[in-house]
Amino acid sequence: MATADGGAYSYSLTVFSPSGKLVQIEHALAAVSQGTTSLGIKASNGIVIATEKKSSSILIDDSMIEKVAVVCPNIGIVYSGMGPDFRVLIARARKSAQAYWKIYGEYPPTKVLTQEIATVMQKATQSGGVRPFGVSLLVAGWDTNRGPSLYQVDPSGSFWAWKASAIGKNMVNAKTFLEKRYNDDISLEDAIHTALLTLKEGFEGQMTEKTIEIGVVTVPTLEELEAGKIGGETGRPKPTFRKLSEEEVRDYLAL
Amino acid sequence: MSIMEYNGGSVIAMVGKDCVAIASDLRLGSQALGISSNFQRIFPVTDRVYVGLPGLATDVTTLRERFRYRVNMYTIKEEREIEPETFAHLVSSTLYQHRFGPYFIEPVMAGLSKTPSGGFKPFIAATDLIGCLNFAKDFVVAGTASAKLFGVAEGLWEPDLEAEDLFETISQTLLNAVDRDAYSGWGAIVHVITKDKIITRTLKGRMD
Amino acid sequence: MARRYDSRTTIFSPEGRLYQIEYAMEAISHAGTVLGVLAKDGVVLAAEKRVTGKLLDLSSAKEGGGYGGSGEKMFLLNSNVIGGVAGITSDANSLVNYARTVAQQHLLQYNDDIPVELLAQRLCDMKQGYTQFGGLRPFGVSLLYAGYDPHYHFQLYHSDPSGNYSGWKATCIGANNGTAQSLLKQEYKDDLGVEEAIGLVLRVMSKTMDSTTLGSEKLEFAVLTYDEAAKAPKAKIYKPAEIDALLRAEGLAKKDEDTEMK
Repeated sequence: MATADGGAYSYSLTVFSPSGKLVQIEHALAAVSQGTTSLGIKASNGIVIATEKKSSSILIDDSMIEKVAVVCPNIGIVYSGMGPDFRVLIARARKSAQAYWKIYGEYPPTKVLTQEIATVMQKATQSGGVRPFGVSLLVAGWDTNRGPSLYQVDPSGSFWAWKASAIGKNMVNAKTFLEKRYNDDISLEDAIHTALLTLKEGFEGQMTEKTIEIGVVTVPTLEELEAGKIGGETGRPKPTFRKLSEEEVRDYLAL
Repeated sequence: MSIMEYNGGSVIAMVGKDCVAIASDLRLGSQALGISSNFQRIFPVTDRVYVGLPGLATDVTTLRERFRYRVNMYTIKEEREIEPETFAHLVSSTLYQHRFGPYFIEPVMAGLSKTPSGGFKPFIAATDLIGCLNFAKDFVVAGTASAKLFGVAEGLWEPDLEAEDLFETISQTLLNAVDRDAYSGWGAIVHVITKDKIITRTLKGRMD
Repeated sequence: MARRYDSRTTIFSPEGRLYQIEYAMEAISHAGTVLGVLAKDGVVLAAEKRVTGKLLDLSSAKEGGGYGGSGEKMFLLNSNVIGGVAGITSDANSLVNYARTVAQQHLLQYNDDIPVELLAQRLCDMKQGYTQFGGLRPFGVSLLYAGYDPHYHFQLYHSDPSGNYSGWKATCIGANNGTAQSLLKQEYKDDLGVEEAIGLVLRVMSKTMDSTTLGSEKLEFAVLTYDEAAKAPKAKIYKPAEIDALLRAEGLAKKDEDTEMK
């Protein structure tokens, strides 16, 4: 379609339906709800995000699949939906975090990074020739201003702060489960166990350190904070977000 | 003659005990010709951070407006006031962006930063005109009288000065240094930032 | 092709309609209500929050105020303008971002806060753009702007997805806006004070919203007044606790059923 107006690629693919809905976004949400379940729980002293990792064949090297990604030392993200879309978003998020670091000499607060990603996702619902991203995200992070915070971002680019949430195939059941289990002073250790219990509901196959991934946000102590302030001479603050190793996951599963 | 000396003017910042001070002379000149004796080059950034912008007067105004823009956007997006360390990095990266066509300004910053335990910690910093940061524990100087300011400050400054003593020290340092510089002087302004108030005083100086 | 004219904003239908705009407005008519009332010494905004859930984290809403501070549907656009949004929240975020940039650019260029109408107009120019060129869908957002500038003093504007804007004494967007509008028509009086306006806004909101009781988990609230001491407009986006206190003072607070049961 080589026309003077730029062809089909200059038109929004996401348009309003007569009832006022953006149908493409609803379809993207449908893609998300076919994805494997992911969840996040905010505890009194940290956050856990976790997901089911499914590989289509036993011949796949599952250590290569990464569904919980580190964006910067204080923020990590898990997703449900389309893997490739997630990879692209993570690359954007990491760039954005580094750009922020270059200006302010520190990594962005969770909300600011979430907003950046949400902006990217919103643009995909309004720009020419682009479909919306087929992922929902759970963004977990820690910053001096708000402490630990957990956000969910949807394909529309809307985002909310949660104490606990679930996305993907089993989200409805998982959310009900979380609503029953959650209380405001849950500890991180308890939250990790609750996360595993929630994943177990509706888990297909066996839950092992190979088939789930866990990321945690830990709240630094006052001493760590004092030490990490300017000049944290290395310029590399101690990470507050990290992924659990297979060994650690195995230990949690054994309990 | 360097463009950095065209309008004249100097700024100094000092650390005290739970307080910081920043001071500048008030002269605006056109080389040796004095134009104004009430030229402000120190500006509040937040309630706890001040920045001094010695250098070319046109860039003083431009940079001040630029920083106001950036700090307003920061405040409205992050829903919090900018910390002095963060502001210092913002200043540095803004200047470095113009590495090959720089603003002729050597900023000096002073403020109190929030500590994780909820207290306040003195912070001062300065950069050169392309944003190389210099964090100091005692004092920083910039402007046409910087060499003299260094000398006098070395002699007068001592650690853990209380707000009023710090005021006296920074005032004497500035006034005596600018008297030895033809491009700085004509009165001065001093701000002392403490955790619960800011003391601002205008000083008379030699008018020659 | 049954939907030949309705999937593009850049094409008129044979009857001269732009369907995409109509559909976008349809989206807004289902969104949470936003209501604004102009008083002689201030402007009052209230918004209905639709997203609720037991596990929503509301702790961040307790902070804010000052120059920063924004809720889910109330945003400080500049030190002299508060915006209330109805419609697709992600589209709204993008417009809010644009508004804040425009306002700061104005301050940079003219060393003065942007006049309220100009800010509304700049946003509308962008919204209009999406209905004429580029072939992109319009923004699914209507806004209320509560603002102050030294020339026209307090003002209340409304803008819709087509890029239309207009000034109002009292108006409402979102779900049930018809009911609210007629209530406002009955109850609005010229030279209303800001305190009376607050009462009016809360009364109308309580009658308009689907839920029977009002509380901070469903309501956002903001007031713009003038601070005589600082010689500057003062924007206040209420924190949840302040909203509940306000509702109690107006006698509109919900009864805490749980505690009564115990």
